[in-house]
Amino acid sequence: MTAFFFGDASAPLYGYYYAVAAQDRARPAIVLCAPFGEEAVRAFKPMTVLADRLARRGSPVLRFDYAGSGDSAGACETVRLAGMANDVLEAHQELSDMSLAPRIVWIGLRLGAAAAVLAAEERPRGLAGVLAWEPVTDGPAYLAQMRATQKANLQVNLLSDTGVNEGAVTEYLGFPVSETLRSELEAYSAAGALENTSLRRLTVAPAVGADSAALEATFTEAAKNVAILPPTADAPWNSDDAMNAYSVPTLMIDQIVDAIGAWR
Amino acid sequence: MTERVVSFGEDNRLSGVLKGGAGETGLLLLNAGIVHRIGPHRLNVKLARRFDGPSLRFDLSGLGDSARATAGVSHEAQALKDVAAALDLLQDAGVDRVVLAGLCSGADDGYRAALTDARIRGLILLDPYAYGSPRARADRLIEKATDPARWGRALARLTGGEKAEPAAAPDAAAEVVASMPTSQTPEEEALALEGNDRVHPPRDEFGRNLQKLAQSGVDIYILYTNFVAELLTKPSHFLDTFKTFDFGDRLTVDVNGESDHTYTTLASQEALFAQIDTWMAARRGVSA
Repeated sequence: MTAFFFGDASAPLYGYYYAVAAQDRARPAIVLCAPFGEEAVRAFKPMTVLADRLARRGSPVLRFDYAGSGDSAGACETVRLAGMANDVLEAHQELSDMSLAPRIVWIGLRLGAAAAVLAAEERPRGLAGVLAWEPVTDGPAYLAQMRATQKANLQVNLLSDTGVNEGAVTEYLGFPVSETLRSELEAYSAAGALENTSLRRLTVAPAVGADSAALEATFTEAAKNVAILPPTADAPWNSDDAMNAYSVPTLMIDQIVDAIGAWR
Repeated sequence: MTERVVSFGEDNRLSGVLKGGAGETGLLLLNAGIVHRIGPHRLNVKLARRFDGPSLRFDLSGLGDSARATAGVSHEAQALKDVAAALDLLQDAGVDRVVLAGLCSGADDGYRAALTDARIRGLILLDPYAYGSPRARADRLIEKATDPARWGRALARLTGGEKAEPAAAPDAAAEVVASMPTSQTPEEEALALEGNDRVHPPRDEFGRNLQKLAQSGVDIYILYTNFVAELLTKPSHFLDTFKTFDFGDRLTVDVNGESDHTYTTLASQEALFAQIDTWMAARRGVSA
């Protein structure tokens, strides 16, 4: 394992590379695309477990932080969806250089899946497909969910939701949501973004309790060669309690690892 | 700002980010609970970058990007070893005096480390151990009795309403609240803290050790939030509890009653940063 900074030296990205002792050239290398804000903090352990299991099966993995998040350079206020997508491309190139793998798959969780889909529009060399895990498929719906979760968090932890602006989501569980990011989310739909890609393969890993039929309708109309993994009965990872307990959805992680193994 | 990834400690298993900066005083940031080294809401990164001097944020053994320890020692004992390794790294980087900052378990680890390592000259303890007192309990009862929002919630419960003023919230937020575990109010969290896995040292031992640190020249800044509201809500509650001890002018206590345990709102984060800036600037020996 190697932790390092990469990319533009004046604004480096933090990366963590999982090398493999005996690389299985038939298996793709993997870029892990984290969610946004507090969801990325909560997803830290699930993503490390996923990275570890993928590497044990022979796939080199790069986990990284977007600019303005984690240990990467930049303030939280600077996070943009377009910037996240650019960083996915940067990570793709870095992983390609490090692993020399001919094929790379991006696994994006929540807004990380949206960043991956947007980045796929650039059709980088070696991209074999995207696995969208609990993807944000509709930006406005995601904003509404942010607002509801923020209000609920304040009601429970501060017994008051004073300050939550009904008109615009300005912060989400401890992280700022800039006007630019809001605009990007207002305009984002997975179906629309996928029209601009020529993804060879797209697999969707649904959230616990997600409507698989709706996901299938969203994605199969917009992309070719789509597979929807069956939902699992994992404990939710994306909550205050889950963060404090490091809840890891191991059933879904195993499904994802198996699905990647089939991408030969 | 120059930051670099560092591996250090036994078998180089500890992972951190070392930031350069001017001055001989460094800032060392510890994990809060099991959150990796960036801290809840990235607080540790923000604190490190606001600080003019050198800083190190790192993951204790088995957390974040640090590998597990091989020896079968307790978390507390291992954390002391890990902090000592971090202090060695800072010392090699020319840092002789260190301010250590930690939230919750990070505060606990920092407090214990300061008792064993004289290189730690300042402590910023966010929601460290807290102890109740008769005066604090009486004040809290009065606060509750005179809080109209509390009466509103009680009335809502009596009339079959839901627990956290959902009437004022849109359905989506009420659904999220309803899906949350019921043991989430600050009162319940504080009680859970008292009786759960965070083992508090006896009150007098904590006071005695803080006194020992203060008398040896360690500047200590304690900041509580509403997380401990059932135990104390004012700095005077803390000082009253420990009135038999002499901290000189080395101990400062603030209570951020409008903040939750992890400073979730951006406003509470900014207020915290301003408080720490003010304390840093005022304290001799710890300012860069």
